Amino acid sequence: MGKYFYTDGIEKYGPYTKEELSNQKISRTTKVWCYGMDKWTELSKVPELSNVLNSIPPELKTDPPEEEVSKTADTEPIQNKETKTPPPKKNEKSSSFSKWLIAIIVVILISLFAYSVIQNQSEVNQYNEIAANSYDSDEDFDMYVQKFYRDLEFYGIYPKKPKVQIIKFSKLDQLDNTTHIHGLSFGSGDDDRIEIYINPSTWKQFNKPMRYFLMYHELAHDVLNLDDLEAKSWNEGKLMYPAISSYENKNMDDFIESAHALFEKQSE
Amino acid sequence: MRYSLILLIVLIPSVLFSQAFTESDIKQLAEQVNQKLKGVDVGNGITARGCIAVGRTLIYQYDVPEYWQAPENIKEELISNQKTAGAANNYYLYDIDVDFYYYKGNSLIKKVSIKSNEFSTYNFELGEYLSIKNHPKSKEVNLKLKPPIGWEIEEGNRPNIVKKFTKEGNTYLILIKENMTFFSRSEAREMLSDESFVNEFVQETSSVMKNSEIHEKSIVTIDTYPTLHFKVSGKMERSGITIPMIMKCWVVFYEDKIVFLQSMGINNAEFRALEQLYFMITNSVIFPDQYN
Repeated sequence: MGKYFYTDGIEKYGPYTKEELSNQKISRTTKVWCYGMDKWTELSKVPELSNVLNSIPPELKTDPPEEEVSKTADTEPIQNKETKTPPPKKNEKSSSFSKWLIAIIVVILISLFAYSVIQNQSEVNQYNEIAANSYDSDEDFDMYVQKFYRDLEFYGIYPKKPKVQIIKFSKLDQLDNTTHIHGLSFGSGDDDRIEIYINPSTWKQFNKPMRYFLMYHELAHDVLNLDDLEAKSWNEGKLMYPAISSYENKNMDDFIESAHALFEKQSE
Repeated sequence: MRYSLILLIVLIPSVLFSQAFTESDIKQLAEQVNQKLKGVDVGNGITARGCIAVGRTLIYQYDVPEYWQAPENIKEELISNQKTAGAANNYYLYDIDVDFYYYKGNSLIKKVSIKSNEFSTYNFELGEYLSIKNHPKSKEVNLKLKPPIGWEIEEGNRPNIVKKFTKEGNTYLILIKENMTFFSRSEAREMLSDESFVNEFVQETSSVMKNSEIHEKSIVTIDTYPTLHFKVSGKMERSGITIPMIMKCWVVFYEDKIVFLQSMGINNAEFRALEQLYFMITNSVIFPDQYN
């Protein structure tokens, strides 16, 4: 009775008798060899091992059987390894890598989520502080709103009039991280709300054109839901340019023409 | 003095409604004055020879005594006398030149020629700047100008009239209306380059008058702002009487407002005389905000 060797593709194990082979961790596709065979052949294709084949349960991950190597002229040298612990499989390694990758991704996602939550909370806190430090004044901000809507209508734009309109001074000049901000709007994306807070110190310093630039800029956020343009040189002079403090040399004509350019674009 | 009164009596009915005094009118006037004046002793041994007209010049002729010497400042005295008598303004308004000839026997010993504009009694002087900034009716327009000296400065009695300057039925007012949107200076100039727009605008502005006729129309600049200038005449009814009126207007397109600098009066020589004053007032207008 011949003895058989099997391989897991890395090592070779045996020799085993048929009975012994049945007890190895092999599958139908495990390659086996015995003296006289031309080449390694799948178990399922070796007729004399049909009994062994029938004793094999349904496909599971099996460790490649131990392999005993015997040197012959027609076969590859086979190393004789008896009672040797099967080495870790290739798919085990890839499985481990996948787990690490998933773990890293999960950690990143959790970190991003946590950062987002913290950031949101920070923004909420800032909003609450700004709103709490806002106050009414004699400044006729409503005039700017009326003119804004009037000018939009001239260009055939009819946005919804909001149910809530809050435009106040807020002590941005006295709060952390807002002293450099001239105005903030919180109604963007909400068609029922205009909520704008103005820095009183900068308002006092601003001349007439700059006040119009500021108010129309903030109203464009809240009413037209427009974002700031990039702070690039080719956007300088436009109404949605984010750094209007550089507009101190602009005049009313500059404001009027920049507003008209924006409205014309919106009406297209 | 007497002939001045005669002149006034003849001219007053004309002053109210006439628009011009032709050479024929002047000749007719001379004949009327001559009839009243010829041979009259005007004092100091001087006797009026009569009054004739040559072109647009009234010529008063006098016989003087041998001892008579013309005062050095005779011209100034004659002008002053005419102003005191009230005739000077009419010479000015109706563009009538006046000569005074003085004879000793048949020799003309003195001739004094006075041009019509030398008889002007109008004080075309402007006062200090008047600002309408923060005026309740100014609609945020910051404007200042110099009012004419001797005129009343009144509040506008209608919603859009901010201030008005008045004197003896003549008016110069500042009226401010909302425009439909903002216009930059270049945008306004472009709008005013449209002839049909301008004509329609002028017609609408002068719709207060019936049978209106446009005499002047041009695009000018007032303190860097594009301005439509026009002069329109027509008729208006006041208390059942139809009166020929004339309006001279400067319409400034200032940001999102339209500023009317409007003069109005009876369509007569006096209005034409005052046009120079209205021009001076308008020319003094400044919009200070653009310089801040």
